[in-house]
Amino acid sequence: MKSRIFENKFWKIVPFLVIFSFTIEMTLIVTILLGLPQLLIAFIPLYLSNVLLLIKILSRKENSE
Amino acid sequence: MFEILLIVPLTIFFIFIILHSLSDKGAKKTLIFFGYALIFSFIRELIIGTFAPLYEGSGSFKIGNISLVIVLGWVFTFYLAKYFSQLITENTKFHNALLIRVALGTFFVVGISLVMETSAIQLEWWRWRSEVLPFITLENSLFGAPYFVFVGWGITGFVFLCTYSILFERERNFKSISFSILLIGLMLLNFLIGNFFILNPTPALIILIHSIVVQTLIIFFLFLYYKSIERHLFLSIGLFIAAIWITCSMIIPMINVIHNVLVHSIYFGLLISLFTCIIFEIYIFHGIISILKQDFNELK
Repeated sequence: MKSRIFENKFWKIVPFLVIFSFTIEMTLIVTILLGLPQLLIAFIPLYLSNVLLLIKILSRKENSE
Repeated sequence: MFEILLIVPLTIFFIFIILHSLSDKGAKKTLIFFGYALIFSFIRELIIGTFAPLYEGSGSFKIGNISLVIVLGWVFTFYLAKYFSQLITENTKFHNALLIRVALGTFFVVGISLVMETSAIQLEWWRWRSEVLPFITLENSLFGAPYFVFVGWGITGFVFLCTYSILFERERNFKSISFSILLIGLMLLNFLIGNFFILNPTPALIILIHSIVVQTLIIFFLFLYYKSIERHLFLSIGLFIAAIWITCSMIIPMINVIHNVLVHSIYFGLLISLFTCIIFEIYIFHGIISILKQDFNELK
């Protein structure tokens, strides 16, 4: 039986939040800590993944409404 | 020095994804997924560490030569790749197509690899052993990360996602399974030849063989399957080819060629192989587009 804590809708998007936080963290490390913004070229596929996930989550919400 | 920037967020993220898995899939499936992913990652690191010790992880959390942080990093990546592929294909006709889910997952793994590998070298999370790879310099790598490493990440993700689906998700489409196994074999072959090309000081001929032999094999098997498979599977294969092969086989040699042209000198063989790649990719794209057109016409 699932715990009541998990019934919150927040849990459904946790992996997206993890991916998003990871992307932000690595972007900040590369730009501020390392001072190598040129590395961000290599981040493009991950940014694209974030956008795709966001679009999918938003469209799912709209459908359920 | 910057290891804490890897360990602390990874631990927090890891707790969250375990909780998500518990809430979404239940305890049994969570145990199966994380157990299999841990064993798979550990064996992978063991094989690489024993037979091809190209890199070593920094830090104190180690069993033998195997860095536990790297093993956990793999599990973390696999879980998110699986989530990514499931969410993107949700409510679409591709939801049950094994290869398209795996292709999307692999795309995500390659995306993570680009971020991790380019940053990890600068942050000294792990290092490429220059005594084993004397040819890896800043000039012939992507910000210090050898090009073949992205293919390696992609293959690892592909093999994990395929085997997990086949073993634990009751994937029973025989043609999908057999084609997945075939592609795993071809990708491993590609990786072996790719490694030779990376390690060889005169890579022009090797990359030419790599491009022509492996991609001809892919197209040959694609042709055979085109004759026998259902259309949705062919679409999956086409999109799979587009997502993985173009990323790994076309862009990497292209970057290499540009580097060689700019930094060293123009390698005739590299240019020929680049053109070979482009011709093959155009051929594959042509196939995909014509099939898509047919499908759209039928939908109308």
